[in-house]
Amino acid sequence: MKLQVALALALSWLASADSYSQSEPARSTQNEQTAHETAKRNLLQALEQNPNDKKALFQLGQLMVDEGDFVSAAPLFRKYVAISPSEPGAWAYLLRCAVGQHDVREADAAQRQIERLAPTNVALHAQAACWLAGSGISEVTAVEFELAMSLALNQTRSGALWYSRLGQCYEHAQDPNRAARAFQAAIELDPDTEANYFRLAHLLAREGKAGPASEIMASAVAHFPRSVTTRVEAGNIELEAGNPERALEGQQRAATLNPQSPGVLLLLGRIQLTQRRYPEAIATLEQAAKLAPADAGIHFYAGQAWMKTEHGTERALEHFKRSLDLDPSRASTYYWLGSLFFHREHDYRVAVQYLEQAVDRAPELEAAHQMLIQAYKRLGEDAKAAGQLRRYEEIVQQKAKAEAPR
Amino acid sequence: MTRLRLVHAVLLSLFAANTTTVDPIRFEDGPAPRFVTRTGRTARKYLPQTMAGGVAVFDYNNDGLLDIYVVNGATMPGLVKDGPQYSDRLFRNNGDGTFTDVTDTAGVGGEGFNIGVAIGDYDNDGFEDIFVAGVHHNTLYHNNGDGTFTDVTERAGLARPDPQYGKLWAVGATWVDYDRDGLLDLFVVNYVQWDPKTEPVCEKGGLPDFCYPRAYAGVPNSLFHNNGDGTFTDVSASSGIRKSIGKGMAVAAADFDGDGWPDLFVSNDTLPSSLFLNQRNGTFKEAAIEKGVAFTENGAAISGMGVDAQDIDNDGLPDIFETALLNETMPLFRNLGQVGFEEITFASGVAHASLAKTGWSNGIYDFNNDGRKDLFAACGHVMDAQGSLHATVPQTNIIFANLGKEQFADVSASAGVALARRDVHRGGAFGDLDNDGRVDVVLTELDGPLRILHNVSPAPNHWLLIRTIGTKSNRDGIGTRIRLVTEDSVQYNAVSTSVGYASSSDVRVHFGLSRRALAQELELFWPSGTHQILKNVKADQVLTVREP
Repeated sequence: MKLQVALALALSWLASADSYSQSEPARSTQNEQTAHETAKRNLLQALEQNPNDKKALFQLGQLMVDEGDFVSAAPLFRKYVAISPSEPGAWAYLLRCAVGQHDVREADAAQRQIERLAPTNVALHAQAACWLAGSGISEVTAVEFELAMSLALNQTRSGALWYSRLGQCYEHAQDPNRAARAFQAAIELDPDTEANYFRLAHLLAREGKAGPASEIMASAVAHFPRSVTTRVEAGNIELEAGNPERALEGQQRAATLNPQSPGVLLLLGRIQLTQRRYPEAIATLEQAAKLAPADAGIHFYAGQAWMKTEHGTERALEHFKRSLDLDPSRASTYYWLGSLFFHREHDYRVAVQYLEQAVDRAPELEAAHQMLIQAYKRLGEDAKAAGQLRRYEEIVQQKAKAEAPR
Repeated sequence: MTRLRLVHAVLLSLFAANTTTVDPIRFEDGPAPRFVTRTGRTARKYLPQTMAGGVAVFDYNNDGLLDIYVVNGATMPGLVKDGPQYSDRLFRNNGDGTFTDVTDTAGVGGEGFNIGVAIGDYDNDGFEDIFVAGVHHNTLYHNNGDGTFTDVTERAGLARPDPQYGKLWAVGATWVDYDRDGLLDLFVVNYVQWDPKTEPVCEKGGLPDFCYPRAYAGVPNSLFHNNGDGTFTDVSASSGIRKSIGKGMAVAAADFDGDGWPDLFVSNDTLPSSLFLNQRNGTFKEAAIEKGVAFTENGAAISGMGVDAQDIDNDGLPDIFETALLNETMPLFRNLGQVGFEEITFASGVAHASLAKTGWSNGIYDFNNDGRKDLFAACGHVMDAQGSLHATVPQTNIIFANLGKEQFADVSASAGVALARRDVHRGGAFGDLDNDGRVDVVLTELDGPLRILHNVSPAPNHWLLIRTIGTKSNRDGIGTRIRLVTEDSVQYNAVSTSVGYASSSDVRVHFGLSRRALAQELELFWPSGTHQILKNVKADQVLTVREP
């Protein structure tokens, strides 16, 4: 059972390994929801028959955690560890519940138990550290993160996955220093995975550390000298760091490897956009779109380029819609479509449809809230505008609460 | 290749600017006092060095002529004015196009690395006082009325460090009577948490350069309530201002929601703008998202720089004109009243011309006196003039003529050779220096000379300058809304000295009357609530209006 729990924990984590890189959280279908409810009913029945059914306690607790109902989940795991106190996976879930409820004392106790019972289990500690990321439970977070990092020394190449994931958690929690350390550990454990270089470099660039970001990508280029992807990504990093000239150098090197690569053209188009060379950006991105008509990103930037022209609204609309067809998950595409209908077409009804999608997918997208409130007002739907404002304010309050030192 | 050129030509045609007949706007470089804004240049770059340059135009000696006060930098990282080259300077207007340096007599040479300036008569004694915003050190000068000033910062209670952030770095301020008690209060715009000892090292293109704002943490702004006895109380927390953490660059005070109480718009660098709506009980509610001015249509928080708020479409509601970084456009928000604001940057024609510029101080003024307020922005790249981007750092300034119906045209190219000059502009104050009815512009540039753009717009249009004297309201009449009616137009304006970035402009309200030599009606809404109407006011004069 101990092994099964640990395995289930690790597998469930791996299954969601890329969720932070996606702009839209995975949505459960109606069938999945029904199955979920059925499973809950069955587990509750099992517990009615046997309140100490460990399997039912654990699985029901997991379902509650999945729903974000930590108040209901916590007693189940407390009961579990009372019955079986030496299972670190259950303590880990108890830690998850404590984080969800901002219960510092229980988080501290659970962390101590995990450390005592499984001092070298990197999967468990990385997961625990991940859950603690951005929790505001600073002392426990520091202890668990350092513990997870200390285990990197004894890992093999496959251990890089844990650290890559850990870095993403802390990046998501806006803790760039810890995220950078985790990504660095992932690169050291597995220098042959390009994505880890990209993640670290993007993080550094976003933090304004252009020099270190460039250095990371230089080492990536040295490691993958024939990779167009790496060259393009090096250009993207420079662009993100505000160095379009250096991005162009990277783009030109990538172009020597494959001048017709859509990625190479996309980078060039983005550089031209940054440099306000809109006619050229449009020409480049149109060419890229012909080569890769199913690339949502190319259409997205082509739409942006056309939006910069005085008479480009129609073409911008076509590209944004195509981008959305290809990738309906990208909140920013909904935002741009909303903006286009709001500012250019003055069709507030349609703008609302897109902006609602944008805020649903990315509640943190403040600009979308702003425009949605304004769009409701233009439509005379003051109650909806007020409701949207309240929703926005709740998000801000939750964010402030999560970020406040405890 | 030919096909590609053709495609480019077709695409370029999409960017062609509208051309509409408008009374010309012309400026000449006029004789300016000898002054250079010193940034304490160093090989290593410190953020304040790119932020200097505040300037004010105001009549310190009540002789009816606008004088010029310029703040200055200091050594870096020491933040010390160790020689006359770093002195802030007061230049008295001699009325003949020349100025006399009266800094030493006036006692306003200053201390430390100063950035911005705000003018207002805080003690209602009839003489304009000076507030200087600086790096870790602000100064309040009381005008003694005899050509001298006294540093009263300590006595006024404005020298205390922030309880949480310590010494703050202020870049600008505005005098505003937020509680309408007849006394000007002080709103101070604070930029970022900064310490020379922990200044990060950044580079651009292999050369040292200024770091991006995201390398620094934000801070709240400050609001000081005027107690009426020469002292101020810090009400930043109790008023709700302190709740908003930003990277403030500039502030515009205006009655945005039309309730008769002054509100505040703050442009933030790389963070959403703030709109503090006056709740009429000593508190403010931040409502930038709600009113639609936190972000531009691109959805990103821009690097907000200077800001001015005046009524560009004469509908009685103050609109907002903001400057921003290269490639961000200079946002123009039209006030729709209770609904909020509508961004018209693209629709108005401002976006395309402003995309290529980094704007700093800016102003909404009727430069050609045609009855429509135009837009001016002082421009210069934020990065180091000695750095890798040196070729693009000096920039020409930009003027948009108001064509009516919320349309603007970039007329910089036809506004004279003075507008073709590329410099690293920063501060900009607006006012009629020679009382000829045409609004002039005083500009600073980093490590460059002070400039006066003398307005020589040729159209024989009429004008009116109104100096408000409050009796129940604050003596400057700051916050007074003025409605002017001519035979064929209605215009609105408001009294404010807070214009642009780090700068302070003529407290007198300027109206262009086009071909009309008479204002049939002049209606003043004083902050005290007093409503005053003047009939048949002749144009082409500086009119002093005393609150009844």
